[in-house]
Amino acid sequence: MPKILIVDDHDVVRQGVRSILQRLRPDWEICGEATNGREATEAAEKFEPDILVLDITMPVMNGLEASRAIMKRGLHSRVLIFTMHEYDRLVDDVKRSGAQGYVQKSQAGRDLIRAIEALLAGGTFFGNPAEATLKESKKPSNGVSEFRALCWA
Amino acid sequence: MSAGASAHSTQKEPSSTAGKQQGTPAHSVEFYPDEEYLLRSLSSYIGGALGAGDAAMVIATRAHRDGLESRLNARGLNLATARERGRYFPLDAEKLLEGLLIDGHPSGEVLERVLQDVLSATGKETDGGQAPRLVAFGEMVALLSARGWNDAALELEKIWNELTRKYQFDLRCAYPLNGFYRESDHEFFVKVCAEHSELSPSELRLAPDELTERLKTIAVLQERVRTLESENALRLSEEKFRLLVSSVRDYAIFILDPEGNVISWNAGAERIKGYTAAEILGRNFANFYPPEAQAAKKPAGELKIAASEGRFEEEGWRVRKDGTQFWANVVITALRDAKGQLIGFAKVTRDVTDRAMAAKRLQESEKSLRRLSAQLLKIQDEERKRLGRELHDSVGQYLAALKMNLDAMRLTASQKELGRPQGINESVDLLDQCIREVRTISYLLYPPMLEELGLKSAVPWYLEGFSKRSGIETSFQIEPPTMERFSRDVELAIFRVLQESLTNVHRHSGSTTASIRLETKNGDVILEVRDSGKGVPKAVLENATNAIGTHGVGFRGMKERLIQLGGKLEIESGDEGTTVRATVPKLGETD
Repeated sequence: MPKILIVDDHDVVRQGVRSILQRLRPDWEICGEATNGREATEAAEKFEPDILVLDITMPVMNGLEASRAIMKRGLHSRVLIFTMHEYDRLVDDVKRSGAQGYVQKSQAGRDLIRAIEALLAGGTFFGNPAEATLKESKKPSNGVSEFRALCWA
Repeated sequence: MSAGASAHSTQKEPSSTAGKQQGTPAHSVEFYPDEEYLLRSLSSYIGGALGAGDAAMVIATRAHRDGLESRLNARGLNLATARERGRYFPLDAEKLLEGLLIDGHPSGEVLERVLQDVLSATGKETDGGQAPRLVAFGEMVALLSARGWNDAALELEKIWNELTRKYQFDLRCAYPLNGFYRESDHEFFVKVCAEHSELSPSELRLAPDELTERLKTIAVLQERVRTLESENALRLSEEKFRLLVSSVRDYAIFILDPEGNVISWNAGAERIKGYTAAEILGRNFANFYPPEAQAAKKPAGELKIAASEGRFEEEGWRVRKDGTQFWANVVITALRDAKGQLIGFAKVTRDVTDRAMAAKRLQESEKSLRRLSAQLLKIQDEERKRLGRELHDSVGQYLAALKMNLDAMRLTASQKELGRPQGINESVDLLDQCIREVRTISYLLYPPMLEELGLKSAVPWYLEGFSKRSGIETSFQIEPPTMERFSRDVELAIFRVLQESLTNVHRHSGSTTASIRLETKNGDVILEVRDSGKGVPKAVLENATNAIGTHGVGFRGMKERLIQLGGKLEIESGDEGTTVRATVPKLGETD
């Protein structure tokens, strides 16, 4: 039974992830939760999860740093970055941190299960840019998500 | 002229015929150079008579009667009592004259009838002894002459001659001397003189038969009067000037000798510097300078400049008698005599401490206002940034979580369970829109890509969004295309000016296009936003650059931002649109 650790500083987000996973994959075990990068690395050592669903922007230690720390410790856990952000260099940043994929929070319903499955199967998941572009051009909005470079430092 | 000279010491004391022996009535005439002379002479004539117990009749103009009476009162004569006792008979020359004239000729009968009571009550012996002698003054003749009716004046003189003989009283007539300046008056003058037994001034008595001599005398006399008048005028104006200078309190006005010693001192000098005239006269003006300035020989240096250039002016600290200092405006002017010899200096000093202090305070308050506005802008930026982050990181997270829940429901629930599955789908779409909206607002509050990637990327990002929201077509030029990064403050200032300007274009200009140009030039970053709209109203433009007003706050905010960084805002506006140009040094100065 795959073990999953949910890491996000927002309760509601952890709840949301938990709710999706429990509904769609009741066979997966949610082995624990953490609220920042440091807790995440500790929990990863303790629970040895197969997958960490890891937010980027968190207090104490952010998700990318935590990803690096986990990789450095040689843990077998695979890391899926789960973020609000979308910007040009995001893929690079995620890859550099050692993580194997990322999912945007707003696309959780569509992508989260697929991404975890891909990682469990030993693969990676970095979204589908072609699909995203198509979707945006069909649905012009006055929002910002269509823009290339959006990021909080 | 000498300052102490009296106006009257050069004048001859008017003669008085009062107190003459009875039986020899005198009909004298006086030619007076000025009112003062007449009143002095008249009050001596009438006052002498009243003082001697005689009666006096005065037929004079209102002004002359008033002048006479105030002088007699000042002498201690009680005119009211004199009137009650039948000693003083004042008559109005103008009114009486009107009553006398019949077809332009004075009537002796009428005059005699009018004066009957007075004339018969005096000068004659009565049962109770000697009645008071009468002396009379009249100037109806002068009034006639002033009208140009010289013949009538002479007729009246003859009438008076008859009356004085008949009733035995002394009479004095008076003519203003300036009535005889013209050559054509000479004949009349001579005739007037002929009607009188005495002339005043007495010079006129010389060579009574020699017309030419007499005329010569008149000429001399008149010349003397003229000289006297102009001397009087000069003396008066000098006196007034001296009074003016001495009474001026707002300016210290004083005179220095060529060595800088004080030789005159006015009220203002006493007030401003604290020394009385007695304390400072004769002392050197270097006393007014602070010790450092004295040590540096500044006082002597200033005199040297004033002597060589005619004038020296400066503002600086000066010292009062009590040692306190004041900020003075000082003007030193060299005084030279007719030969050009330096005779001293005039020094005018003004205490402008209040003004200087006010200017300083104004400067300080402007500085503090500027600091405050810089702080406000900074707080505004921080607040926007905080709000933006909060929206993105907090509200955004909740929305994302909400969407996850909805997604989870949608993905697991069977159509039957949900009843109306399209309801969930619609909610998910709305939620997506909401998430995008929150993100837009948060990014507009503080664009993350500005810090991440700089103007080069943030400007086109913003323009794209702006065009979508406003429908205004934008074009963007950047030079060089590989524009480098600038300090955070400079980039933010440029970005905010862009936002503000485009908001103005959208809200006010009516323009459908906006062209934006960003360039670096001579160490400056320059942003130009040009529209093709209706232009900015003049009042708004003026407010934008001057005082605080309800309009143009946006412009002022932009301007302040740029000034903080050593930059400037230029606005050109006309019928063909508006151009806003922001210029900031690349290395923006920050406080």
